[in-house]
Amino acid sequence: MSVKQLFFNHLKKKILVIQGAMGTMLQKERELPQNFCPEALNVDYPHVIEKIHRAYLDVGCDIIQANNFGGSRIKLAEFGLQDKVKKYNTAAIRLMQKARKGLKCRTWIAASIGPLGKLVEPLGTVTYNQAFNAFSEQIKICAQAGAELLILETFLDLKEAVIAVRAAKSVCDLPILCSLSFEQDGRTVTGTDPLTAYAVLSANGADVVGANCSVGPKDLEPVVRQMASAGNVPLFVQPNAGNPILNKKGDTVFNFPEQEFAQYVAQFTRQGVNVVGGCCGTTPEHMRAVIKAIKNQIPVKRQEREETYLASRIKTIFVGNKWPTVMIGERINPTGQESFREELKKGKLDSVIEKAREQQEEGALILDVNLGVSSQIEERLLPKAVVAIQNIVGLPVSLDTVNIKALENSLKQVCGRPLINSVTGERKSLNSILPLAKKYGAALVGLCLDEKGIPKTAEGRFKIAKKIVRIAKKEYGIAPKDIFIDALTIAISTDPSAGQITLETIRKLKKELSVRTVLGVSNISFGLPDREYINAAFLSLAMQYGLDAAIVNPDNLELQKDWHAINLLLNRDQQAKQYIKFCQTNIPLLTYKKERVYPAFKPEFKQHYDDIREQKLFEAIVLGNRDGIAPMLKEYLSSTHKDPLSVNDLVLIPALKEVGEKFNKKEYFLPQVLMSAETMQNAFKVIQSRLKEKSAQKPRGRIIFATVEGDIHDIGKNIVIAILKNYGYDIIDLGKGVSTKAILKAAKKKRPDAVGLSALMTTTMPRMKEVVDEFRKNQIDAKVIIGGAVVTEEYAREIKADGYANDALEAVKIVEKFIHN
Amino acid sequence: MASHQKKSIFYKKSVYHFYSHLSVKTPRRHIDARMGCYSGVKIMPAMQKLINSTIAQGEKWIVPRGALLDLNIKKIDRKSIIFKEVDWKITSNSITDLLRNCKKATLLGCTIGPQIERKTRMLMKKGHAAESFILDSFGSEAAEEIAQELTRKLAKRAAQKGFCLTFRFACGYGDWKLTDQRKIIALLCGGKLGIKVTKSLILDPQKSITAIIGWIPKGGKKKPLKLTKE
Repeated sequence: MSVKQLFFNHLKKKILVIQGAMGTMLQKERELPQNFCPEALNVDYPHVIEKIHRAYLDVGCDIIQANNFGGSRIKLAEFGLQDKVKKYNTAAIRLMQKARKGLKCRTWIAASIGPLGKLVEPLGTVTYNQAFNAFSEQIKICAQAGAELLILETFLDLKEAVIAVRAAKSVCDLPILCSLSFEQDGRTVTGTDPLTAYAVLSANGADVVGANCSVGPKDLEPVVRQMASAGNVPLFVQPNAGNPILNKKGDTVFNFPEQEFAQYVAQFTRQGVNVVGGCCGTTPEHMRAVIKAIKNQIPVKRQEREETYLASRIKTIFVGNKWPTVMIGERINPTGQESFREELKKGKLDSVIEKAREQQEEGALILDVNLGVSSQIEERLLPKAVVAIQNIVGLPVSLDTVNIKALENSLKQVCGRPLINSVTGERKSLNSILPLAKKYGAALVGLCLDEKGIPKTAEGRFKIAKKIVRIAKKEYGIAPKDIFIDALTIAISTDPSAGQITLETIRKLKKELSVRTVLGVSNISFGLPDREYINAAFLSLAMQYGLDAAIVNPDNLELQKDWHAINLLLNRDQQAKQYIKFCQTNIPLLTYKKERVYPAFKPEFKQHYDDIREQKLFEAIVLGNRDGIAPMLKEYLSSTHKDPLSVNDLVLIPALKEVGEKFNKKEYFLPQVLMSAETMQNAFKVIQSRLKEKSAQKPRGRIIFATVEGDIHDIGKNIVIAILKNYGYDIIDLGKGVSTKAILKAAKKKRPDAVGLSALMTTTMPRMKEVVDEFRKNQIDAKVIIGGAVVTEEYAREIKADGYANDALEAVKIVEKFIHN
Repeated sequence: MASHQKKSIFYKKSVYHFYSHLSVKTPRRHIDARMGCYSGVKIMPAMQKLINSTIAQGEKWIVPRGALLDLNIKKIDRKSIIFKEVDWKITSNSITDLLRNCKKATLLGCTIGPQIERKTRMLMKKGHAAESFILDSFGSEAAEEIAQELTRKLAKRAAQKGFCLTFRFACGYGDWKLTDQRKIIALLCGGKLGIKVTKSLILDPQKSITAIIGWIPKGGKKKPLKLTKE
């Protein structure tokens, strides 16, 4: 019987107790030097380490843990001891063997594998391979020296923990216990929640998952509760002895009472935790109390969950019969998008990030990533894109590629549990994709096609699905629930029965195989007009047949409305949570994106026109109908042949003045003024395009704007510019942090009528004086107008500026006064 | 098992508290007020919708991070103050006045990250000044709300130890020189927080806050801080 089987047999019968702290016990030892490397003690002070192990064995601990937490090459390098990896780790294991010699009861000796001390990319600088090699080296040494268990613990970064698990699996077959360190808010400092930790670590092959360090047992209670409800993978917990406090000497001490600690830990075992212990601050006395408290407690059997988990670093998505059909965003795909392809060829990921963000806003829960421009580009960019997407939107990804190298490189970089898109029923595909899915703990999409192509019947497609599931389970131990079968969609314009075949395949898959189903919906309507109606209807039908996930463009309001309503009606949206969220957030967002039109509002208008079309134009400016104004104005000018400038002067400018008056009367506030300003700009573009005489296009004056050197706050300056543009001025915006020299140079070259300066900080205000002084010295006669949060009228007088504006509309008045009076 | 190793990475947990996932719900009325929307202003339904959707987007773009560093006061006189744990002297009457009855003080730092600024700029560039302004106002209030949330956490912790808090006081106000901003960010592990200080001593991202708060023994002389709870 293998060590792993023996361990699991033991786990079934008994709740095992791991020893408590090593580090804080060592700190109490007076004979030890200051600032020591803990692993060096295994060689230099072996009796101290052995004494601690013995103390834990004497109280009845089942598992003792080696003093090699920081024994990796990278961690030891902090002390310049990187060449001692073998020596220290071997010694650590040997000391445990020595300590348990003579004991009759079954005890386990475990290697303790901690973080590298440097973060892994993208959070830090250590590469995947460097981390993998460091963990492999340490674990291999421990296994060869006689370790029986591997405890990978105190990880702050999920990705680093996963690398450690993979490294362990690559060098030995010992049972792997892996735990992360959670903060008081229930997440690791890098943002991982307990459920995600459970999902990702177990998918990657950790035999026991859990939590240790950082907080005391009380704060770990919610963490344990979440993990215990996540499935039936065994759990282990090692809390600190409460939270550390500073004593009078300035030392960190833990003073959580042993009995109370034991009561909490006993509660954990009743929730289904299988292995318990202690971390920082715990002592043999804590463990004695724990052993007593759980004396008659038998392991609690936890239920396996039906759901499939897909995860990013910070979020887990549930896919299953009781959960809403999941929306997989399809837009990160360069097919048919020439500019996107060009961008990728240049190695840029701007559009990838933008599309990821947009799709997340629109409600996608998983993002399909396809960068299929060329194999070289895929291999280079796909891993980078995955990291960038996960950093920015934090959603799980679906890696959509047939390039094995690009796929494996990306799987290494993913933090979480991704979906591999896809494997087919062809043996070659199965042989190359399934090992990767197993190795990297990924779920995968299985396409119902093989060497002969796509079968024309539901039975044919089902047969291929069955083959994929059988081989995945039998040869690689991949559970059917981790396979998303795509029944495939063929255009209904080429085969009238295409929809029926796909739907029938989904029905059979759901009935006869315990798999997930996924579908790329939009192919169905290829070649037909108004495709979105067909897509939405087809999706509705597929959802009724049991579709678990669909790859769609989430920027489709009609489809999304059906989607959320059907999930609710099929009892796949508990308490209508997603439907309500959709109504509150996504409908306004998608409506806004689609129509850019706002409902009419009828405030009192000062001005009234006999011609209803003029009245509408006037109201459009006052109401801020940004997108409606241009077509209305074009139609009006074309049908009346009126002089565009007279329309501007008699209708549009009065409307803008009314906006200003409403602002002064505090009926309007700044965002409404800005909406009207933008509407006016759109109208002005139409006016300009209609003007024939060049002289009529002459600007009413030229103004230079700048936020002064050292200052980066430019929103106020930008607002003034947005409003002033409507008054026919030529605006030159020099930007923010502009040096006095650059402002002077621009003033000399462009000869403006006025210069507007902004500053937010008292420390950058003096630059305004510099500009004024330089203007005077160089005899530049442009008026200098200043403004900004800390700037006052008094300061403007003091530095001899020509004017001061308190807000954007006051700036307009002052400019008008200076230039036209 | 891991306590000694972790200390070398960051401060002791008992003095340095880092928060990477603060749950922040920015009060809408504060955002409205910042935009100049006081009572009497009639918000058009279209504008209401625009504000709602912009804030909803803004909420997704903020990445709140915060840190609190507790420091014991070693010596305080009329003009300056020095702390036990760090080599730092603040010379400021405003600060010595604030902390004169305090045993401890806490440095606070927080940010909403750079995304809002980037989006604000992008929207302005595209000519969507209204959304840009709404988003900017939201960002400012979100940063303030994070600072409030951190202060609430600190007040809770202080109360358990028999202390109440002074007002929050920020560098650059009174006679506390802005040059101390660099030291504050260094002490709060600016790299971890994602906050830098520019050459001209401005915090980057802009929507970031630093401050100092004193701990007064309960029954002490100073008027304690009253926290607003939304």
